[in-house]
This record gives sequence, C-alpha cells and structure tokens, in this order.
Amino acid sequence: MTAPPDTAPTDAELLAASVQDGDHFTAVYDRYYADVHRYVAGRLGPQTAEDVVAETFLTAFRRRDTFDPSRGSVRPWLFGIATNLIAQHRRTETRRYKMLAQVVVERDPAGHEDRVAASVSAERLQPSLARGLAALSHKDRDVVLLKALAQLTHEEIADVLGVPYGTVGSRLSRARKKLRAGLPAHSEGL
Amino acid sequence: MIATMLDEPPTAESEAAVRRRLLSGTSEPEPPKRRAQRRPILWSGFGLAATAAAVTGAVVLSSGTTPRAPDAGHGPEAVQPMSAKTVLLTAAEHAETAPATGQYWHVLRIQSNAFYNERGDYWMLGQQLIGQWSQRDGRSWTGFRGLGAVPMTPKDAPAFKRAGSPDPAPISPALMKDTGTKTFSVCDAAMTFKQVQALPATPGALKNALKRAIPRKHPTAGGTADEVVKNCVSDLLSSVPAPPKVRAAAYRMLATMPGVTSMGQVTDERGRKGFGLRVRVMPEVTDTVIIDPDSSLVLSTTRTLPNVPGKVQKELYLQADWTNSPPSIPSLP
Repeated sequence: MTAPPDTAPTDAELLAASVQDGDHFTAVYDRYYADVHRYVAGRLGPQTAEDVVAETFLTAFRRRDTFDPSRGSVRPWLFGIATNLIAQHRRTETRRYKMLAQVVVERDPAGHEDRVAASVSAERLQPSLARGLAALSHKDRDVVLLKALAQLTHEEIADVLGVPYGTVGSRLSRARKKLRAGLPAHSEGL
Repeated sequence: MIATMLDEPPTAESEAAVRRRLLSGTSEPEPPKRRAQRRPILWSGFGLAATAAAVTGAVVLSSGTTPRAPDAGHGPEAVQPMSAKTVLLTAAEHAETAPATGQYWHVLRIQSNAFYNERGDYWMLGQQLIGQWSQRDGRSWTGFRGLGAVPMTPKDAPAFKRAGSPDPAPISPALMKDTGTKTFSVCDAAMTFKQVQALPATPGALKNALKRAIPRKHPTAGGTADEVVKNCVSDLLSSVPAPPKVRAAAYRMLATMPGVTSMGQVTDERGRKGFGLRVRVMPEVTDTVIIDPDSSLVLSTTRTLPNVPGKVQKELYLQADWTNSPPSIPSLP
C-alpha cells in the first residue's frame, strides 16, 4: 500500500531498462513465465511448450527495443509473440486436442478438493470439448484460447491479433456456439 | 472449462530449462538468427494419423522372411508371397460374405501412442485398451483401460527403466456414453450409420465418395486425393460397420492403387497370421496394414514416420464385429 512506486517498476519500465541492460529482462521473465507457459503448454502440450516458451521470451528480448508502450502493455505483447510461434505448430496443437478427445487424462488426484471437482466434470466433457477445439478454425481458436487460457480482454485480443474489436466478439461467440453444440445437453461453464 | 482441460501447470524443471535457454540466448551479444530447436516430439499417435481410430498396441511384426514354425497345412512352397492385389481381392471376396447381425457394432483395440521423453532421451509407447460399442441409431459408448507403457525399442529400454517405467498418460478405467449421432468416423469424417450403409459398393464410386467426405483441411490427409483415400481407407475397413459389399469395394479399390505393396505373410504379437501391406499414404509416411484375408478383418495398422525410431502409431484390433453384449469397461481378452 505504502510502498514507494519506484520499488515496483512497471513492465514497460523494466523492458525499457533492459534495452540498456539486458539483465533487467529477467524480471519480465519472472513475472510472466508461468502465464506464458500455461498458455503455450495448454495449446501445444508440455514438451513442445518448452521450445516455444523459450523462443517467445528470446523473441521478446531481441525485439525489446521496438516495444511501444503507447500501443498496449507487455503481457498481451508476449501473448502475441507466443501466438505467432504457436501458429508454426498447428499440427501439434490439433494432435493434442485429438488426443484429449480420445484419452481421458487423470489429473492431480491428490489436489485440492475444488480442483478435483472441476476435473471430474471436465473429464466428462473433455472428449466433446477437445473434439470441438480440434475442429475450430485457427482464427477462432486463437481468440478462444487467448480468452480462456491467457485471460486477455477483448481489446487486448484485438491488438494482439491485429483485428477490429468487433471481430473478436463475433469470433468468440461463433466459436462458443460451435463448442457448445458439441457438448452434451445441460452442460455448463464453457 | 477449457482452461481446466488444457491446464499444464509449469514445473520447476521446465522453468529451469527455459531459463537456461533464455540466459544463454540473451547473453549472446548478437544473437544469431536461429530457429527454435526442432525435436521429433509426438504428443500421441493420434495426431499423426488423426485417423479417428488411431493406431496401436505393441505389435511386433516379423516379415515373411523371418524363420518361424512351419504352417500346419502348407509346405515350404507356400512361402511364395501373394501379391498385394491377390490378397486384397481374396479379402474382398470374404468381406462379401461376412455376417452382420447383433445389437452393437463393437470394436476392441489396443492403441499405442508414441511419447518422447526429452530429459531421459528415450521413446516409449503408452498403451490403452479401447472398446467402442455403437448402435444403429447412433448411440455409442467408449470404454478405456490403461495398459501402461513400454519402451519403443530395445534401445530405449534401459533409460525407460531408469526413469521408473513411467506411464506418460495414465488413465483411469472408464466407460462413457458418447454424444452425437455421427459416431462412425472415417478419417474424421463423422458419419451416421445410415451414411455408412449408403457408401457406394463399387471401387470407383467409393473412391469419389471418400474424396468428398474427408475434410480437405484434414491435417494428415495427404497431398493428393489418392493419398487421402489411401490414408483413410484403413479406417473404413477396421472401424466402421460398412456393409460387406462396401468393404469388398474398399479392398478392390486399394488393390488398384499405386503405392500399395505386399510384405507377404506376417505374424503379429498375439500370434495371429495375416498378410502385411505397405501403404504409402504420403511421401514420407507409410502405414503397415495387416489383414486377415480369410475373415477380411484388419488385424492391425501401424504408422512409420521419418525421425522416429520405431512404429509410432499402432492400432491392434482384437475384435470388430456385431455383438449383443452390452458396453462395459473393457478387459484384455
């Protein structure tokens, strides 16, 4: 609350500082590694994710001097880079969803109770949902997953993908409709 | 819901690995332009085949030239391999007389998916027993049972054992009711029972129907229409209750296609004899389809890929017929 502002530099400040001194970039990495990992690994699986996450941060590092804070913040910028790299692995991505559509992976049985409850209902819907994701166009998929996994706002997604704000909304509702259509009746929480 | 399904929490190991790469990458004054390192990573056999009935289970093939016990009924002269065409036409004849009664179309198979462990640098095959029961009205059920993992090749065995013989994708035994009525799928082209029954029964018309049915953007559909059909026809023969005449047409169609060659007689891991066919489905991708010409059934399909040291995708069919036994969690027979 009372911490002086200079103890917590903003992302943009860190990135700017890293242009002079690359070490500052480590702080950006520390802040966003987990988020970027979840997004990339969610789409490509943990094995391919290692490559792609590393490449995402390396790309960000190489382009750090071109980052323009007036055009958005650092977090969505990283997700934009990750999304472009993921596009080179579409087969891996589709493969993952198809695998999930066939195989119910038992998750974290020793986890928190609420997590287990969530997993149980997810397990039930997993095959239909995963099939649905595999069938989406990559444009729709980008929007759905930037929302669901990266939790970007409509506006951020529009910036990241370079499409109009309204397009994000229409792709999202079209994709949700398609995904819902494949789910068993009365399922919720998409 | 999506986030829960796709959740892959970061691990300390992967974080450390990425950090190391980042540090070495960012400490280079002029980072050379280099591509992300490509490794042959497979999530599962599925994808590659993307054949809805993917591939599977620990099939060890021995070719016709491998020494084995002499057949009871045939002298050594019977070793002369039949041509792919002869085998297919024989299978076609028997397909026409196969019975089709029972309440459920039932396919029981062992599916093996290739996994590569980067840390230990070894390949393994995760295996599952998968049973599917489908009714004519489209209702269907799928039952699973995990069968653990095995090293992909003898070379992978030591590292696999050192790692504690892990199961890369453990599943709990389950029986699930499937949704939707388009439950019969040929290369991801979901069909209703009626649509399957309506498939053309002549090779030319069937080929055209398959070309139309299969999604153009199918990731493993192949480069040419013929490749697409070759890639998908094993699904039609192994997993779908196509009428005998359609199965016969499928076999006849395959017999006329280039890129289909005979391996002669082979024996699978379960000791079943069949005829092996190599089906080149894409320039670098070859499927091995073992059929039993006497019953016209597909015994197994396996896929070989460049840069993977084994049969990546294997589907070993234990049963594919009509039955009155209701769906249940499957067990190895």
